[in-house]
Amino acid sequence: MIVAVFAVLFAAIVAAMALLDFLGVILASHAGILLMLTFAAAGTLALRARTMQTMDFYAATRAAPAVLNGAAAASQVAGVCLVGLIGLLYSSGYAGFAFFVGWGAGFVALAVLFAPAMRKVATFTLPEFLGIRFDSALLRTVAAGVMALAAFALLLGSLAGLEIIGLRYFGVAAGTIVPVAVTFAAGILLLGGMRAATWVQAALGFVVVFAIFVPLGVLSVIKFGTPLPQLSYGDAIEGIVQIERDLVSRGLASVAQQASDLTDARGIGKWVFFTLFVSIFAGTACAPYISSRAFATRSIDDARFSFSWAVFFVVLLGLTAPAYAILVKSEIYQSVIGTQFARLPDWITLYGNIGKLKICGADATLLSEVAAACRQTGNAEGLLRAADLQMSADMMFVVLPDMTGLGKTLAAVSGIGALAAILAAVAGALLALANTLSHDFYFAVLRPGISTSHRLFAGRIAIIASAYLATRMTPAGSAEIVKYFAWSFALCGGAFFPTLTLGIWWKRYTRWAALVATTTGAAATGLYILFTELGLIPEIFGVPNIAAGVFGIAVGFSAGIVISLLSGGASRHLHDLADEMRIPAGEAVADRLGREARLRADY
Amino acid sequence: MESSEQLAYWRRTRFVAWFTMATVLLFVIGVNAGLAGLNSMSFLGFPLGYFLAVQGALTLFVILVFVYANYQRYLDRKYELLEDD
Repeated sequence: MIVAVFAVLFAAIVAAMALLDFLGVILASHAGILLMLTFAAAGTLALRARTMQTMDFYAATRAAPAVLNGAAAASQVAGVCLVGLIGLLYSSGYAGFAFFVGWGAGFVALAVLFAPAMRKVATFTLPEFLGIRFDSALLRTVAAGVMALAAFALLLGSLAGLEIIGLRYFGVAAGTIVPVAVTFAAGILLLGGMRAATWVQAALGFVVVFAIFVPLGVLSVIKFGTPLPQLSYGDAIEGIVQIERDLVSRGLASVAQQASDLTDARGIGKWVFFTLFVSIFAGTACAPYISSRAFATRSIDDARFSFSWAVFFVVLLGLTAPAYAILVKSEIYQSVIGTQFARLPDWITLYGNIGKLKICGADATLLSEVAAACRQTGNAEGLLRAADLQMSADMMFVVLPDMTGLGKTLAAVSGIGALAAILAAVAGALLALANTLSHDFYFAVLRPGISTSHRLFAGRIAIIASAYLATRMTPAGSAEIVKYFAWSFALCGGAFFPTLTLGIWWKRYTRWAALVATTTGAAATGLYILFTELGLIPEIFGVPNIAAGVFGIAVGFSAGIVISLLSGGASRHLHDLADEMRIPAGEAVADRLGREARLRADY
Repeated sequence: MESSEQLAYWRRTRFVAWFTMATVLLFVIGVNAGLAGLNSMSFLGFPLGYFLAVQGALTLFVILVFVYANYQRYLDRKYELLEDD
């Protein structure tokens, strides 16, 4: 209800601001107004979701409506899409689609393969689910370690995306906006944990959808005469190819920067595309910060529909994001490349002044200095060549309203949309990290048997500690956003995909097989990322380290299947559990186990 | 698995799950394998291979997953295995 009121209010205020722009009224800060509105809505939602119950704090009372839960799950990947992937689509073309198609297919796999069984067991975290499924506290602890690492990587990658928003819209550096954003996310979570996160992420998800559709839709009406650029940017692709051919013939671009790379995996190679797809696909299907949304639903049926809606929302992103990359490229080719330095558009210096745009190797702060810098690098003609222009990958989404003159209001909508997407991802990753620390380490290993209030206190301390640590360790540089994100997904896929698949669909799968598969899968992926990043080993089989999940998946499935077959099948107890998980009817497994444990304690 | 009813439920559940996943993965692999060839044709102004691999695949996912979720809901009802709450 509040989400709906907020949605209407947000749209109305955007319309009012656009009208004031049109009338010539000068507003102090467009982005500031929208930000305050968003923060107010999020704060209200979080206050209403405040709680002192573990069931609310860890599992959103098992009452999250399917559509909102799906939007919250999809919002987990939206941040990297807007500030990272549109830039990747712009520069490397087709590689970016491995993410979109991987997310879509991954959410399908989650809805089909994992979510029903996870909801039937209905624990608070993924490690706890694995612990119950294989009756192994050791596996739970190992899984919690992997989950903490993966969530932390996602958190760092998301925080790295805040810099562009701070600089472009609020005139503050990363050192200011990162602590503000983390404090906001932590504040929401401290009030209501998973329950607050669900509602706030859904509200932020609305802002994201609004921001990817409205400015682009307005632009599309102006340019193509239709509000649905998702269906009409095909002609722009053809246009780009032709302009590029023309620029190459005039010596302003080189053949290497082929626009057609966008529509074909030629540029990165089919093998790299495939490994990246598999890694992202498997990661999406079992990343704990996404899959734990299965525990927050009312029923198994709702769990399936939650992730079906997540597919829907992530597909909206996947259909729209390429239009941004194409339109930015088309604009650059038409009104930037081949233009005299003195006549470059205003947005060039806007982004040059915040260090996101370089021409001839120097920040484009003043057009007169641009000409001087380019003379030094041997551009004597005074026309900008494609090779002279360097744009940071994180600016490609927010720059579109600026470069097409859509006005301050729509520019602010884009900025707040990107910020909302990052905040949603930050909240989700922070929650997953803190939950596994408090629930799977502190409560399960260190201090079993503590009271509810003690557990919630520990949960809240874990949020504060994780938030502080993440703020201190936020990496700089736009290249880190996609990299950390992909590492996080690779690690989740490598560690959990084989064990979840076999554990739910193969009754012979044994406890030791699960333990070995998870450990070796995580190690294969984690060590490959670490060693290639440090330059200790070269790439194996041509797999880039952002696709390292494929090693963990291969190792995990092999180890899991071989060990299960050698050891002659699972124990009676695990066999019965596997059966119980397949039937939706009846009590949740975690509830039954809890009830039985209390009964035993009473006698 | 206790009753033959539950076994029949599980057989159907397993079939629809693996059918959905196989369709998703085969479509992605198939279209990307033939991308260059398909791109020589054009559809709605898009190169056909690109259109199928991006727009086509993503739209297919949405349709498939909702068909799956509704069919599974039908199965739950038919075998009277809906949850208590």
